[in-house]
This record gives sequence, structure tokens and C-alpha cells, in this order.
Amino acid sequence: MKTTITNEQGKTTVTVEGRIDTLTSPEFLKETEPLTTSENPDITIDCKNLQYISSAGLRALLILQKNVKVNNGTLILTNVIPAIKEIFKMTGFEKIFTIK
Amino acid sequence: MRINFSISTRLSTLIIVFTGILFISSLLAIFNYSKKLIRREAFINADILLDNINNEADAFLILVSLSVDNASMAITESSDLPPDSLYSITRKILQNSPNIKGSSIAFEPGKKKGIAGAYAPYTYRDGKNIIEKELDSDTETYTDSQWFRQAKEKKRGVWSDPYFDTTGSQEMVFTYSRPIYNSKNEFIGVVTADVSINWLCRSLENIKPYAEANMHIIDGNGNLIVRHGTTTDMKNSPALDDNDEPLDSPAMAEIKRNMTAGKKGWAVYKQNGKHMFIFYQPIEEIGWSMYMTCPAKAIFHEVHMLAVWISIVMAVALIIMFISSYKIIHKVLTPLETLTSAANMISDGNLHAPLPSIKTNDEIAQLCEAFSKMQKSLKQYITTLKRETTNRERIESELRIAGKIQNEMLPDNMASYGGDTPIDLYSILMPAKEVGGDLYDYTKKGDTLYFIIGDVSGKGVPASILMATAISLFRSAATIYETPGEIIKSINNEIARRNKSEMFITLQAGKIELTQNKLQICNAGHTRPILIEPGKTPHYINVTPNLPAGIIENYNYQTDEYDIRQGDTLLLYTDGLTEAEDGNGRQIGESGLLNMLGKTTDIPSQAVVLHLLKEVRKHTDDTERNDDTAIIAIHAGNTQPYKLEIKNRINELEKLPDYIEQILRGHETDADTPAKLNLALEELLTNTISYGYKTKQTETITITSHINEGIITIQVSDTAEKFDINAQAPQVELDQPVEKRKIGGLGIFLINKIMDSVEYNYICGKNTVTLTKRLKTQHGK
Repeated sequence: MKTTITNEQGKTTVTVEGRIDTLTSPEFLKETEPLTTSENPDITIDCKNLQYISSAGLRALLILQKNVKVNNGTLILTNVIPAIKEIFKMTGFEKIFTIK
Repeated sequence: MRINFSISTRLSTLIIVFTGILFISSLLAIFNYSKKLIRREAFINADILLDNINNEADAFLILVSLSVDNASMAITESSDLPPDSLYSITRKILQNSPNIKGSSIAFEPGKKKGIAGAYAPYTYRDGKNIIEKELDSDTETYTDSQWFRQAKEKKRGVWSDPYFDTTGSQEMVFTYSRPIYNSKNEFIGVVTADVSINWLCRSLENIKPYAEANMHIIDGNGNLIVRHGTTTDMKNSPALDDNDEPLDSPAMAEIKRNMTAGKKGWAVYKQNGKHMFIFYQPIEEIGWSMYMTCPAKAIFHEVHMLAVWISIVMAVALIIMFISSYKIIHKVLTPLETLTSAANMISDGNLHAPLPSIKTNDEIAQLCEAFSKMQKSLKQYITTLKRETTNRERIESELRIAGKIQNEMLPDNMASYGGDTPIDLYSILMPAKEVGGDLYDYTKKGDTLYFIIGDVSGKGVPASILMATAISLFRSAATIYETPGEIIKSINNEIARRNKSEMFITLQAGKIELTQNKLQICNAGHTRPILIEPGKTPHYINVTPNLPAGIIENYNYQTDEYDIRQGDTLLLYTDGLTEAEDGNGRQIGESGLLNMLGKTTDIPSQAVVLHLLKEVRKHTDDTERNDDTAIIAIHAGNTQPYKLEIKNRINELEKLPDYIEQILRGHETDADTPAKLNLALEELLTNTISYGYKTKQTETITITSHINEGIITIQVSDTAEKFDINAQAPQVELDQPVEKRKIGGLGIFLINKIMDSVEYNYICGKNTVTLTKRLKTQHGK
């Protein structure tokens, strides 16, 4: 799992590659959680290279989403592959995340 | 302190209230009686008093009237007396008493010889002097005076009404006048004596029984002559207070009438709110009445004071009584306080609460006795209970350990053998309690597989011991003997020889030559085995029914022979399976079992058993298992389950994707099936690895999968803590907003969503989860 973080005029983009599963989600969270604790964070997660997500990954995304909401920011997931979209649907997480 | 407070106070209050009531009522009774007595005394006193005065007055008045009468007779006898003699007569009258203020001889005008008109020599007192004078006929016509007229009219001595004596003594007086007659019996005049009223006042004042009493006198017409001890003459009397004249009120009218009528008596009346007494007596001689008014308070003054003092003393006594009874009761009840705190201590768990020591032999002492006895028996009871609980826990833990040992005695419940006829074997053992009497075992000797299944009569610890014996006997017999019949014969001999407790075992032993398709079976009283041939309905095999082992020594056991072909599955079981009941007590039975097996095609033994378990669970619907159950399935064929063994570490999960790819190779699936299977397995294993193990010891998790008719069955067994994934997983709320979604619980939810079925069994000490999923759905993806 690899994360690339870029910042452009206050908008942060996280590009994630590979799998966010039980093994890799701690590292994912470690890299992305600090982004959510500032004032009014504006974060986009590009999921075009995200191949697989397990419940550990969902947990991490949920934590990010909650933090962003508390700090009055936005979190958007883009380019989500259908298999992962289906997992969001199955677990009701499609209602929680902003997916574009 | 609270209990004592209320009992002591209550009792003490009751005592003084009761005593107080007694005191007060007696006091009131005595008080009233005393008042009666005193009133009577007062009446008597007043009576006596007034009597005395009356007598005195009477005496005096009679004296006066007598002296006047005498004088009048003297004059009558000698009607022609010189003035000197007349004056000396009047002086003599005067001298009878200092209270006679004046005396005169008043002639009817013209009746004195030698005098035309009125002539009245008059002697009177003026201080210490006696003065003689003639009543002026010019200034006063004495003939009009009451004292003259009345005597003249009544022709006898009369007493006049009181009047102010302007001529003489300048006092209030009243006059006794007696008519004089000459020898011809003609009225010629009167002799008079004037009596001062002051004399009466003085007498009255001197004998007042009470300082607050007041003496009054009224005349025959009801006019007040003496009030408060002084005359009521115009000049001297103090201003009349309406308050002071009780007789003027209408209520007193009757009394006034009584008085003027010359009666004697007493009455009670109210003046200005004060209770007053009035005592009255007539002064008969002159037709007056004297009365004494007295406030009731004056009469009863002393009694009242006495009552007040007694009340004070009583109140003090009651207070002292209250305090002392309170203290005494409190002292008596102190042990109760100790008992209460002891009871509290005991209920808090401290059985060694100290009890008070009582020296008396009363009810409280008895209570303490009883309490102490209770405390002792409680202590004893708890000690016994603790001991028995410890014992029971020890036995239970020993049983658990015994159960574990039993499990460890058994070989792995899964085995597979290669060769020309690959064999795979799957067995399960489910005891009804911690330890059981059913058994299975198998062992390989060269190219031969020996297996056995058995059922000890009974269950629990006794059966388990025999079960262990049987297994070890089987293992040694299998090394020595060739046929199942011989094996069972040797087991039987061993057991029957020493069988004193009348236990026996039903056994079914078998042997498969792995290079040939030969099957040998020996049945010792056991349920017949079932043969499942591909494409055919499963059926029971006919076997020679030998006796169960342990009954008769040296019994000859028959061995039967069969052919076994590729794809056949042999199923051995114990009657715990067919006797499994549903909620209504209906057993599965042999035909039920055959139905459950259905037409199963050539599938691994594991699949057969798991399918069977699923069907059995449907039937029993989780009703308690009441008999041990063992099942062995032996399958000849080459559908092998794929096995993966991993350690209980998260990083081992890396092996999953390759494993899944290996299994699915050559099978048609939906596009997302591999990923989904991956996800389901990963969630299951993550759960087990993260939360299932108490210690950090490395343990193995076994994953076996096979595919049959487009359905994949994955079985995961682990030796973690017992955890039923279907029973205990937490709830997941899908529709909650972000803030409310919980971070946990998703894993199990996802597994259930992805897989078609999730089964849980606890088999031979292992959590066994069986997942199934159709590889390709109709609409495909």
C-alpha cells in the first residue's frame, strides 16, 4: 500500500495504491489522519489504484470522515472501482462517504 | 442511635403523658372539691359575719327604741313637764349611746301646755359637746317630717328612712320616733332618737373577711345607704361608678327584691367579667338589708395559688421523670444498637461482627443469644458452602481437562491418503458432556487403513474411561491382528475379563486396503454403516450382527467383506446422531438420516459430514444434545480438499490471495468472486487472530476448501477460545449517520453479506466455521 499526498492552494489530494486491509490500514491511517485535524480540511482521496479494501480499511476511512466533519471540512472519494463501490453499498457506507 | 432514640422517647413520652393526665385530672378533681369546700366555708363565714353585725345592730336598735319608748311613757304619765325635765329626758336618751346623735321631744303644735304652736326641745351632739336647742318652727315644720308624721299615723314607734341631718349632727342619720299620748289618749307629740349611720359603717368595715370584699346597705326602698363602707350622702360619697352597682343591673333585680323583702341568701354574678359573690341579710329591726360583695378570686385566692404551685412542682417532676425514664430505657436498649451494627456488618460480608454481652436475663439478652447462634450457623454454612464450591470447581476443571485429554487422544479428524485409490477421511466427535463415551480412531499399517467407531454404554466420566481403554486396545490390536474381527475379539477379551461394572461397548471396526478396492468390516452390536455410491440413493450395508464387546469372553467375531469403488463414501456413526431430537422430541431415525444424505455425488468426506451437520442442525434447531455423537466418513476418490495451514499472526494473511487463486483455477466464477472470497476469509481470520487467543502462543489455523457443483465450501478450524460467530457478533446499524456509526462489528457483517451460508460448529475442541458460496450467479457480473 502506498499513499501519495499533494497540497494545492489548501486542497489536499491523497492518492492511494494497492490494498487497505488489516495489515496496511494502520499505516494508511498514520499518513492520512493528521490531515484531518486542521481547521476546515479539504481532502480528496483518489482511489483509482485502490484494488481492495477490508473492514479495517473501512474503519480507517470512517475515522477520517468523522474527524473531517468535526472540523467542518470536506472529504471526497474519487475514481472508486465497482468492486469497492459494492462493498460501500453492502455496508451502508455509500451514504456516509461523498463518492464521485 | 436512631432506633434507641425513638423507643426511649416514645416510651418516656407515653409515660409522662399518661402520668401527666393522671396528675392533671386528680389535681382538677381536688381543686374543684377544694373550691366547693372553701365556698361553703366562705358562705358560713359570711353568714356568721353578717349575723354578728345583725345581732349587734339589732341590739343597738332595740336599745334605742326601748329608751325612746321609756321616755315616751314617762312623758305620757306626766304630760306637763317643764322644759328642763324635757331636756333632761332627751339628754338621757342621748347618753344611752354615743351613736345616738340627737333626741327630741316634738310636740304637736298646741298640745304643750302653755305654748301655742310648735314646741320641740332638741338635744344633739356636736363633736364632744352636747347642745340643747329648740327646733325652729319657722325654719322647719317638723310636723311634716317623716319621723313625726309616721309616728303620728302609725300610732307606734317607727324607724324613719335615712336622711341628712342638717339641724343637728350634720351626718346621715335615721330616726326612731314614738308617739306620745296624754291621759285622754290624744296624740300630743313624738319622742325621737336620731341614730348615725356611720356607726353601722364602722362596724361593717371592721369585720370584713376579705380585703377585697365590699359591704353595702340598702334601705327598705332599695336605696343604697352604705356603699363600700361609707355613707352615700350627697356630700361625702365618692362618684358613683356604674361598674360598682351590681344591684342596678336587671339580672340582679330578683336579688334586690329578695333583699327588700327581708330575705337572707347568696348569689353568684358576673361584673366586668369577674366572678362575684354576694351575701345578704336583712336588718329586721329597721327593715334594711346589708350585703357583702366579694370577687370570687379573693375567696379562692389561696386555692389558686396552691394549684399554681402544685402545677409547677408537677411539671418539674414530669420533666425529671421524662429524663430519667429516657435514660434508663436508652441504657436497656443499648445492646440493640450493637446488634443492629453487627447485623449490618454481617450482611456486608463480615461474619465476625462483635456481639454485645448482656448480664441480665431479659428479652434483650435472649435476642442476643439467638443472634449469636445465628451468626455461628451462618459462619458454618458459609464455610461448608465455600468448601463445596471449591470442590465442585475442582471437579469441573478436572472434567474440562479430562475432556481436553480425550480430544488430544484422538487423531486428527481429517486425513487423506494418496495412492491408486486416494482415500480421504473426515471424522467428528461431539460428547454430550465434558467427556464422552463415543470414540473413533484410525491408524495406518503399511498400505492398510484401520478405523474404528464405538459407543460405550452410558456417558460421562465412567464411559470416558472405558472409551480411553478401548482406543488404546484398538491401537495395539491393529498392530498385531489382520482382520477387524480379530481386532475386536482381542479388545472384547480384555474388556470382558475385567468387566465387573457391566459396561459394554458397541464397536464397528474396518479395514481398507489402499492398493486394492477391498473393504472389511466387523460389527459388534453397532449401528450399521451407510454406503453412499455416486448417483445412487444411500443405503445401509448388511453386516453380521456380533455381540457388543465386553459381554462374553472369547466370543468369535465375524468379519464381512465388501468391494469399494471410486467415488464411494462409507459413513459410520453412533446412535447419538439418529436419536437427535427436535423441539417436539421427534428423533431423526434411520430413514431420516438417509434422507439427509440425499443423493450426494462424489464429494470429499468432509463435505459429506458438514452437509450432514447442517441438516441435523435444521432438525434439532439447537435443542440440547443428550447423547454423545461420533461420525466417520471415508471417501474413495480424488476430489481432495485444498488445505492451507497458517499461523495465528496477521502477516500470514498474505498467503490468502494465492490460496484462493489456486482453488478457483479451472472453475467459472463471477468477476468479483475472488476478491469477495478474499475479503470474507480475511475478515474471519483477522477476527480470530486479533481477538481469539488468550496467550501469545503460536497456534495453527487450518483452512480447507473444495468445490462441488459450482459451490465452494471453505472450512476454517482454529484452536482459539470458543466463539460462535453466529451467536455473539455485535449488531451493525447501516443507516446511522457518520457520528453514530460504531467503528467495530463490520467484519462479521461483511462475511455474512458475501457468503451464501455461514455455519458454526465446535468439533473436537476446535471452532469450525463453514462458509459456502455459489461461484457463479445467474446474472453474472
